[in-house]
Amino acid sequence: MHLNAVLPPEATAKESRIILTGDRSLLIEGHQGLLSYDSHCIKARLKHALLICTGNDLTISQFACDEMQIKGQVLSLEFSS
Amino acid sequence: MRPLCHYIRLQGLGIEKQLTRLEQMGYTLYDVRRVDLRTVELGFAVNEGEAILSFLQARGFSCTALPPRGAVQTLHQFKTRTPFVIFLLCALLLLSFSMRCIWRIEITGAGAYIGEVRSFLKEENLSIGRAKQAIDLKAIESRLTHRLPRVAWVHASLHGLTLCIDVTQGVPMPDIESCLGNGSIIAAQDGVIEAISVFAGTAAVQPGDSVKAGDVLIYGHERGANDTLLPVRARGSITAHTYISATAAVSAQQLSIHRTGNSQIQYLAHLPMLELPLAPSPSYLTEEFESSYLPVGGAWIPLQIEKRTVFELYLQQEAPDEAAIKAEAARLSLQNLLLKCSKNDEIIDKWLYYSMIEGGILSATVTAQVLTEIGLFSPETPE
Repeated sequence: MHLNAVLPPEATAKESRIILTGDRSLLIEGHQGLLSYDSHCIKARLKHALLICTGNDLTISQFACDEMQIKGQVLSLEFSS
Repeated sequence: MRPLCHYIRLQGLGIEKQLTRLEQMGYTLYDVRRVDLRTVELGFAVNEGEAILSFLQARGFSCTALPPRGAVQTLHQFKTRTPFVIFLLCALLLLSFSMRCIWRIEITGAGAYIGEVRSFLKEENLSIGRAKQAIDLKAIESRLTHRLPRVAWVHASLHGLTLCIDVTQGVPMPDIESCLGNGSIIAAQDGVIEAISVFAGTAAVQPGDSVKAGDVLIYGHERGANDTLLPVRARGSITAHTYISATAAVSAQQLSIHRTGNSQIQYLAHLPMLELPLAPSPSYLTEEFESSYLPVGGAWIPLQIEKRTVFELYLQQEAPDEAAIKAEAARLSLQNLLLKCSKNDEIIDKWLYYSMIEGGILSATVTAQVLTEIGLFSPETPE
């Protein structure tokens, strides 16, 4: 059996992983860049989609290779291809 | 863990694209915050600052340094407050130095040897402020044990800033010969035997016999086979009626104290460690005083003014109250009698006699008939 068949998709780096803690913290692992950013809307490119995060007083508390941490009040998450 | 960061304000168009490129180059950005359409504030690690700034400035972005935050801000504040930092370092040095010394000496269990232990510490220059490293605990223990022969052992230890010296006193070894050797029981004092119980040995008296101090009550031998006498340690209980007397003398002269009527007021200022007279004290031969205090400093300043009224006194000899003097003499003589009795003695009867007042002294003598244990072990067995 191929290893990819038993491992979860995020472990094989085929998918991005998004962790939302309450509505105050959003962690995106495996993003592919920041498209636009202001305090109400952040657009980030994922591996197979585009993530649009809207909210209030949004800040990028950490922006590192393959990982982005967003703080602030998250109101919605939207995916588009 | 977040490293030390510098914060800048970045102005220009297409900032997101450059941020993504920075991220792809392996740099980490912190606290990215949009200010307006063209402005973003962000932070980066101090060691990556030069490369990031040159990258951004090469692409025409305007970079303005922001006031430091967090740990960098604290370091910056320390730089601008040199005297405070010097004071803080000095205080830390002083604290560190003081932690190397002993600030308290605690001596426990020394009892009567407390003075000897203190003089030893003084001779060895072991006082407050002595460096801990210079203290040889084993040497203290061995020297103190050698110096105090009746002490079982000494334990010296350091607990924080305290030098603890724990002295354990020895218990004197009992007299083995008197415990294990053979002997008789003799009378400790004169009396009339009330009861005798022999547990070991041979009885020498019976109830009703009059004995004198030193007479044998139980012989320290028992008759064995063929009429041989086997030496044993005599054991038994012998109670006897004895007579104990005690005397007490009291003075039959009574002096009373009276005020002459002369008095003087004196003011004194009281501070916690100081008593300051505000006027010279009166020169009466005998005096007494009454005081009242005025707290002029209120609750916060411990200053009080004492108003002292000093009265002159004189002594007068008065006619003795014979009944009161006799009662006092009787009370003291009974007290002396009880001191002579042991714990298990039973007082059967007592008689009280008073002497005449001679030379200003009245004495009372109390004689009591006491039922007491008069047996006393003697290691010698008389024939």
